[in-house]
Amino acid sequence: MTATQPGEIPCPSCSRPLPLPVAAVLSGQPIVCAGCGLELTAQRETSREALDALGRWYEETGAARDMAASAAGTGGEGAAKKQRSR
Amino acid sequence: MSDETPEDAAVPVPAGNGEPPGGGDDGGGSSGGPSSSRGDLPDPQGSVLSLAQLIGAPIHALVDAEAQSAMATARFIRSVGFVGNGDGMGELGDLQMARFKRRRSNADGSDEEVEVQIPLLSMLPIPALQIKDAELDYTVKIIQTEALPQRQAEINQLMTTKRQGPLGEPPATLRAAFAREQRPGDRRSVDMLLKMKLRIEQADMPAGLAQLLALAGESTGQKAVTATESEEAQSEDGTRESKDD
Ligand SMILES: [Zn+2]
Repeated sequence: MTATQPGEIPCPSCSRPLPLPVAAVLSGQPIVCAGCGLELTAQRETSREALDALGRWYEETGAARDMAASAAGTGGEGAAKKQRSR
Repeated sequence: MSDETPEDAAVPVPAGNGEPPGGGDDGGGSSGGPSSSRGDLPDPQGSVLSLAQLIGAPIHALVDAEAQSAMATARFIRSVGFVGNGDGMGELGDLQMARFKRRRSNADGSDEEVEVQIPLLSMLPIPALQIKDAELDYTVKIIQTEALPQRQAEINQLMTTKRQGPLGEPPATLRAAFAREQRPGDRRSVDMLLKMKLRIEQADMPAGLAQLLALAGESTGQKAVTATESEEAQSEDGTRESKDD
């Protein structure tokens, strides 16, 4: 298995590290592998419990993420959060 | 240690204050007792402990803090990573899996929709903090020195087999209390008992957690979605795709 960082998985097709941005997963945007073009889309209807847990985690850690982003001087995930529509 | 009697041994241990022994007015010079502090400040010498206890207490607190951090990490893993786990510490349930769909092209040229299950745990950074380094700066006052009688026999035995010399004297117990840090000309000096500077960092992955994540990663699975499942999914999804079955 390819070594991956937290927040990424080995691509199910090409095994390269595939980042899974939580904001994209929650909003249902397709996640595209830069290596092979594979598209993954979260299935809201069969992952309700998992996505709810993920959403709670995302909400609860939002402030910390924003602080980290502003400390780093970038928009980062904090900016992505504002685009999220749920 | 000098030849002073215990009563005269109330010497501020140098912790950056540079005061000469016995020169301070920290209450130790007159009687050497723990209750002889100035009246205008709270008594910092309320508890006289052995030097080992005094040094050990903050270190114990650091270890406790790390343990609490580890417990918080464990609770996070349980509550986010597993199905039906609150803050309880019972048996772990099943891994919480998020389901994704992807399209796969088969060898015969047909397209197939495939479900990919990914454990939630592998999608999130797991908070695990550890103390990278700690700087403890003690200002203590030695109140009393005493040899430990219960260890005297043992010590004597050790001493007979070793060469006696300036360093060959039997060890003593030091009784000490946290003391004010004295600054020349500063009568308002705060009771600076213990200065603590910590640097916290995201911990290296503990072996157990790495194994858990490896197991979680292995749980990532794919299966072809059957026609029924696919239709159910698409009816909510609204994007109907062709099937070649
Ligand atoms: Zn790929």
